[in-house]
Amino acid sequence: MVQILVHTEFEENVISHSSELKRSPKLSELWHSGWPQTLDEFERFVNVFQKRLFRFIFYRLRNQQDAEDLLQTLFLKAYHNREKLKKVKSQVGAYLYRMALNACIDHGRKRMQVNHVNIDDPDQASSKYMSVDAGATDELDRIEEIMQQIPAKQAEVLRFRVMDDLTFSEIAKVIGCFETTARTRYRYGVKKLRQIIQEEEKNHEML
Amino acid sequence: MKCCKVQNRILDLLPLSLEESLPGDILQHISTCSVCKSFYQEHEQAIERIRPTNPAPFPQKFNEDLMQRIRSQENTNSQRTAVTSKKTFLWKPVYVTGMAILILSFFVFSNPNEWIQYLLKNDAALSADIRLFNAFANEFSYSRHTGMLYQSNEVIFHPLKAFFGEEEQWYPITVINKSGQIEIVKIAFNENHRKKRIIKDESWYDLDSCRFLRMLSIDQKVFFLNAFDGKQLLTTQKNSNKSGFSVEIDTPVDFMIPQPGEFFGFMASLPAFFAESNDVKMVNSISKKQIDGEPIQQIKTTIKKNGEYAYRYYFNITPSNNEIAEIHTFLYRTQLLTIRPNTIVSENISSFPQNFSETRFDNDTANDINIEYSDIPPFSKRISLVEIRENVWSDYLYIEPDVVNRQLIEYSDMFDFGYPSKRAYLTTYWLPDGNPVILIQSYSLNMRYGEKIKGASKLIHSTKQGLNIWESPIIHKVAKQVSQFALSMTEKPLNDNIKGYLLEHPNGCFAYIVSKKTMDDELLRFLARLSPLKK
Repeated sequence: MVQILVHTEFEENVISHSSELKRSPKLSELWHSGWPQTLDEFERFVNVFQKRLFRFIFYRLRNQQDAEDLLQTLFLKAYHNREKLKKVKSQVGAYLYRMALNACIDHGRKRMQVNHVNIDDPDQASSKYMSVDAGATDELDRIEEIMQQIPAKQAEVLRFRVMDDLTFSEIAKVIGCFETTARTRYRYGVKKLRQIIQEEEKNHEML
Repeated sequence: MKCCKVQNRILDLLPLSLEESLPGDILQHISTCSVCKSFYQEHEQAIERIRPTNPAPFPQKFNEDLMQRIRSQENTNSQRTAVTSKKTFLWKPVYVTGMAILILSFFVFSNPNEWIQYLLKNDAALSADIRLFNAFANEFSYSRHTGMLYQSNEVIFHPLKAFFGEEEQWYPITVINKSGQIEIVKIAFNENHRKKRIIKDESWYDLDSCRFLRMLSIDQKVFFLNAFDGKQLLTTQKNSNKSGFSVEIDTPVDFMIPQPGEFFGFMASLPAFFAESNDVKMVNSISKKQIDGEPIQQIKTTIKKNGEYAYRYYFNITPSNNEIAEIHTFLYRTQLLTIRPNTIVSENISSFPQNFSETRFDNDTANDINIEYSDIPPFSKRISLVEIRENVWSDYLYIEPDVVNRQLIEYSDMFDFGYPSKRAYLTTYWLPDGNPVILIQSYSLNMRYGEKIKGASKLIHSTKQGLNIWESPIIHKVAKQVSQFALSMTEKPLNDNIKGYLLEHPNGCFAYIVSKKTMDDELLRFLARLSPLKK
């Protein structure tokens, strides 16, 4: 039986939209060899990952200076521990993301403590976002507001997938779960996200 | 393709930045299905809401700064290494000389306990408890199975985490109660404690006259005592008086004085049961290396706790691998107890303590402690043929004692022989013609496996009373397994020529029968006489 493809306007839109998009490379496509051992190798390694990792950290910390410092520390750690990390052969990118995630979590904890100490100092509190572009911060704050309503584990996978362009297998490696688990969390997360947006729209209409 | 499948795939494919384009089959479906089309559009829009449009402001010269930092650190490190290597070179001879002096002084001044040497070297074929005894016997110039054995353990109750309950940390000891029965007693603190508490558990076994004394104390203040001085039994009981304890002395009406070998074998081994610990580790007391392997048997049961079902774990620990073992118990990686054998023998305990019945109890210490006579299943205990203790066992066994054939029972035990029965009750009968019949009853057999095995078996006999006997290759395999267990439990030898059958009782219960004999009239008559089983 011959299948007849019906090209509708919608379909054409989707195809054109898709072809316009430049597909984000997978982590495994970015770096093929093992953990860099020499300084030259490491410089190439930094060149490959720096922008993606910066984006990853910046979206989580929402502070440019903090993100830069954290990324510097992360790469320094990655270089100094290169002997130990030799055994990470095939999943270098995922491992690096995992390190970045842990660093963000640690940073968040420390910032909570610092904020707690300085809560009465309005100058210090307002300096939190001083170095960040106002537009970018507003947008990230708005996204974070939505993310707060989604269960934490699902939101985490959503961030990885939508903001960091990681595949399910990469997400699974970074957060240490099965690929199917990551996929399921993502599906539930998207559904929840859709509900939240629908409710927002309803409220908006009522207003 | 079904819509639900398409929708799931759409969710997986979004956002499209990760894919080249939507696959052809999905495109085809959404072009014809309005539901999936709107699903796609709605979810794509939703995802776009959490996708940042502003690029992350990547700092300029990031790479240059980083590499500069790395290079400068590299230089500093190489300088440091050079200095450190010089220092190591300078200090090395000092360390070596110091170590040499220490080793020499150890050989010159130390006097290591001989019995530890005996224990570690003597006769590897013997079990640890026998070797321990031999070590003591040699130390005190006694021959084997005579003389005095002293055992001492330090029981460390680690600080309890706030979320743990007081029920979760207790030390079990085997005692002979005032009726002469063997019982397990739980020793616990009355309240949760935030600091380490240490109980000293000391035992003296006079193997010449079959006397024993077991004494528990904290900071040399005694709070529990169990003893038999050759004439009377003495044991601490929980009581209602103000001190919380009293010592009750009873004349040994039921208590049978065991033979020296049995007495030692029973009392001096280290079987221990730990409830609420879901992990147990044994380490060598001297080397602190972990001992792995068979000695620890774990048995998991379900209990109802605070209205909810929870697991309770029991461990049967027998350090049979010729090492003095330190036992550590854990609950979800939090350490509960450490049982540490005392490896130092002091001279003042080389004889059996006299006038121990006059021991003074420390009321303050006793008030801190809770002693509970427990109903822990005696998995590895030998039952007296005269006294089958139905009352203690009733919660754990699914049978009634075999009254009719009791005189034929050679051995009766509760044990774990792995799959399929983690807890099984085994009774060995020796028929008058000298053939063994082993009856195995277990909860899993009654509740799950019996019917399944029956389905794959051949009915070979039915009695008038409704007793069915099934023959099955599965049971034959079980028989081989059981014969190995039974070999270690009975003195009479069992060979490999043993067969297994499934016994189905009229009340719906099952049992395995293992017999050296082929199924003949005599064996059938015997089986027909077995007491009814109970679910």
